Amino acid sequence: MQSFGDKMITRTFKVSKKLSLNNKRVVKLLEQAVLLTSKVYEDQMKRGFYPKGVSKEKLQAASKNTPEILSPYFIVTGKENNFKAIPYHEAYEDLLTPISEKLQQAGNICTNATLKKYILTRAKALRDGTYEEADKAWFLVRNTDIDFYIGPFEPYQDKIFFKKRAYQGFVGFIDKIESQEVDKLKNALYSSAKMSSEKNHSTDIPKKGVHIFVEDILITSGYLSEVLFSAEFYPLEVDFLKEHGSRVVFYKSQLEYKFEKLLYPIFQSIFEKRFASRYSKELLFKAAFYNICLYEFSLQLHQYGSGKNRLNDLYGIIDEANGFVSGIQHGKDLVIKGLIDEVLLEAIIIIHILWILADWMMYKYTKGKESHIIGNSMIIDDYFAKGALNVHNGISWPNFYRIFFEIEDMADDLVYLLKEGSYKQAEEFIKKNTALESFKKLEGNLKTINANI
Amino acid sequence: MAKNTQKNLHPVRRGSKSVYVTSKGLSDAKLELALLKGQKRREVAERIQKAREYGDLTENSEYDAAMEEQTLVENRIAELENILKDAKVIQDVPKSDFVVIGSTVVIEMNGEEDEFTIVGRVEADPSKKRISNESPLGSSLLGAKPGESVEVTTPIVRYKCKVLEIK
Repeated sequence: MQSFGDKMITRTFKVSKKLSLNNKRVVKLLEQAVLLTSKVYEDQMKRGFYPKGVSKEKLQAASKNTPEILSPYFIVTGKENNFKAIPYHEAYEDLLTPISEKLQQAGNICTNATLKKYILTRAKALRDGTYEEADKAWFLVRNTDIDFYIGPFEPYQDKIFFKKRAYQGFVGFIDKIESQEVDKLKNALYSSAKMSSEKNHSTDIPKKGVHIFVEDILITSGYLSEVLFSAEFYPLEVDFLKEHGSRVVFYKSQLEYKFEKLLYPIFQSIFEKRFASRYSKELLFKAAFYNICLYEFSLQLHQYGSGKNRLNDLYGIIDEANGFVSGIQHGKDLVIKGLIDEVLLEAIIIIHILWILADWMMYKYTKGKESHIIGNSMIIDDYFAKGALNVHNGISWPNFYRIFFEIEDMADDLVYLLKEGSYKQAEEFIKKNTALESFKKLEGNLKTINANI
Repeated sequence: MAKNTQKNLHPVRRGSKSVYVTSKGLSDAKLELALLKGQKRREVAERIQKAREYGDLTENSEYDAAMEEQTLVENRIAELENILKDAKVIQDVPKSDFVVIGSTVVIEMNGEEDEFTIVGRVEADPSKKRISNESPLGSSLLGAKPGESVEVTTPIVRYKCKVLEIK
């Protein structure tokens, strides 16, 4: 693993996979390209997206004449009255060129025509900023287990507007059997949503196709690596998603790692022993996987075109919190339809609590997850306040029914904010509900767990 | 999540009581069993043999994967044999004025519409709109008439659901 400061910006995992000699060379080059991507991310974090100390208001005013200031793929330099917006592919050219060259080499020797085209298109996008073309080529890749991504993607590190993208990358092997299993889960969950009027969700993306890829991961780098994501959907542009659907990638290796190093140790530390003995490690891992599936499926239902611009820097907080609560809310459909049993749903709720605590513990080392932490604090504080969770030397028996009730209530509020709420309403909601001190109730039980993973 | 090749399985209320299947479900189950006992068993045996030839079994992922698949195939064979032993065939259902196994129903739940067919558990596949008669939703709907509301209750989840139409 590679790090700068306390941050892990490259993670590698052992994956056993039989490949032809040529594919081995392709994968090796892709891995090298992903490794180099960490350098771009490191540079972004050191330089920042905007001039140091500049205010949001000044940038907003300047963007009227120079709209690129607010573009996801431009960095801003200069001083007030003389801001300059430089496209990423020019600003980071020195670091991007060797990555693009590695991809070019991989593309040249790749024998799968669709993968070849994708690799070469992605190489070009790093040189000229044609990211959408690369995403389109990615969606057309067929007949291969090899998957990868390199580019500017998540906006969490832009603390001013939640727009500027941080570089990241991964290489993985698609597990077709598990992808099919998750696809069934998705279809069961979306089957009623697709028929319904848009009461609590938008069906635009599921109708175009939510494509599932569960992957054994060889390497991750950049933001995705730093915060140890277990899954992400690509791309983020709502217009693209509405036209082409989405690609949800599950980073199984990162989930396994997070489970072993954090989720399970937290489970062992905070729950009453008599209660904890009801849930096996195997069941909890399955629940962790389902939890992240429900979270990602839920995000697909709540991508409203205007949300990001309306809620601006608060979008991440609302979106993250909603992903978790709406995900579990949808989980009940799976119970009543007989796809999962109630013990698994209980385990999913337990994992939901563990996940919140794990992210809080990691926050000390990965400040990029600030929006997650604020959103999560609103959820867990609600459980404490309403008596769904009680703490006395750790968490005693959770009241699952009560938790479910609170989840539904909160999901309604969050979906409203994403769909049509104003910035002011979101601001008030966050101010009223954020309670970072809630995490401290369990601090004593978590002292022995190292979250710098 | 465990790899598996099982079809139409769900974890709800698996017991020794009778399993209801349509005549199509019965023939599908018989076909699957024959396939597993013949072609699939042969294929897995060949995979195991081939993997053995790669050498050292302790570092041989192909061998592990093949053995895992063999376990899954044998488990599924045992399961299908049990299902077929206890299966009760449901005759083709004429349109009824209340919900029975085999009915396709349109319901309203939580402000949203949904449509599915209620089948025996061996044929259940919620991703294809086939819900088991033993699932909380399926069992609550049996006997309900159009316009009637039923409550789907489990210790955690409570839903009210209205039957809009029986097809």
